[in-house]
Amino acid sequence: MKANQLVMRIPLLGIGGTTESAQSAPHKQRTSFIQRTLTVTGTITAPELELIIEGVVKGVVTARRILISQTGRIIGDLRANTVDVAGEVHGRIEAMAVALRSSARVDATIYHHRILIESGAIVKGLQPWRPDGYMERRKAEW
Amino acid sequence: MFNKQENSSGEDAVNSSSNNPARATTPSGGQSEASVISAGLKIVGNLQSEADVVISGTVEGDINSRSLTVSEGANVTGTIESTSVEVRGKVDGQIHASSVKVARSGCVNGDIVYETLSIDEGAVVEGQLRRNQGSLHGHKSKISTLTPVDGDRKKKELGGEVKAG
Repeated sequence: MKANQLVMRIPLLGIGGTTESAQSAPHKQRTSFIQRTLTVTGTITAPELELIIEGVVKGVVTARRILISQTGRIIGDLRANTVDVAGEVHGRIEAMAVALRSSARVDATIYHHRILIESGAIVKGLQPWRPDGYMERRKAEW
Repeated sequence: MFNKQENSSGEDAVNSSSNNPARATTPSGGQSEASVISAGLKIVGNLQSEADVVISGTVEGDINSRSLTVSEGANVTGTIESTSVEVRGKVDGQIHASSVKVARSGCVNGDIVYETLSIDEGAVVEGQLRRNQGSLHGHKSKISTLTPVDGDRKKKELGGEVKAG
C-alpha cells in the first residue's frame, strides 16, 4: 500500500515538477497547443510555457514543460524541465524529468535526471543520466 | 529511491498512468479546435495547418492555414497564405487570403492580396492592396483566356523577326 502510494506520487513529483514548478508554476500556468492539424518546421522557443504537441514538429523545441500526445510526432530535439511523451520522438531529449508513456515510440538519446518508462513504450537509444545542475548549465547554451 | 520506482511492477506503472497529463489533455475530437501559439512562444520556421491557427506569440516564417488570427501583441514575419486572416497584431510580410480583416490594433507591413477586405479605423497598413478576382486558385485559368493578346504579340514578334531577317 505504502509502495503503491509512492509510485502514484512519483510521476506527479517528477513530471509535475518539484523545485522548478514551485517557483514558476503558480504565477503563470500558460499552455500552448500545437493541434494535430498543424505542422511546424523550425524552432519553437517558449522557455516560460507549457507546450502540448498533438501535431508534427520538425526542429528544436524549447519549453518549460513539453507534453507530446499520442498523435504528436517530433523529429528533432526537445529541451525542457519536464518532457512527457505519449507519441513519437525521433532525435534527442534533454530534460530533468522524462516520462515515456505506454503508447510512446521513441528513438532518441534521452539526457535526464529522472526517467519513467511505462510498460508498452517502445524505446530505442541511449538514456544517459545527468546530475542535478546539468540543466542549468545546458540552459545557458540554449 | 528512484530505482525503486523503476523496479516496481508494471501494474503499478499502469495505475500511475491515470495521472498522465498528456492523455488527460488530449481531446477526443480536436479537429475543430484552433492551434494556439501563445504569447511568450516563438517559432522560427514554417507553419502548415489544415485548420485554424491563432497566434499570440512570435512567428518568423511562412504560415499556411485555413484561417489565421494574429492576436494583439503577436508578431508575424513572413508570408501568410490562408482562406481568412484577421490581423489584430503586427504582420511583416505578404498576406494572401480570400478574406482579410485588419482590426483597429492591427499593423501590416506588406502587400495584401484579397478578395474581400476590411480595414478598421486606426489600423496601420503599409503596402499594396491588390484584389484577386475569383478564387486564389482560379486565377490561372483566367490568365489562359487572354491568349488572343499573346497571339497578337507573337504575330508582331514574328513579323519583326521576318523584317529583321
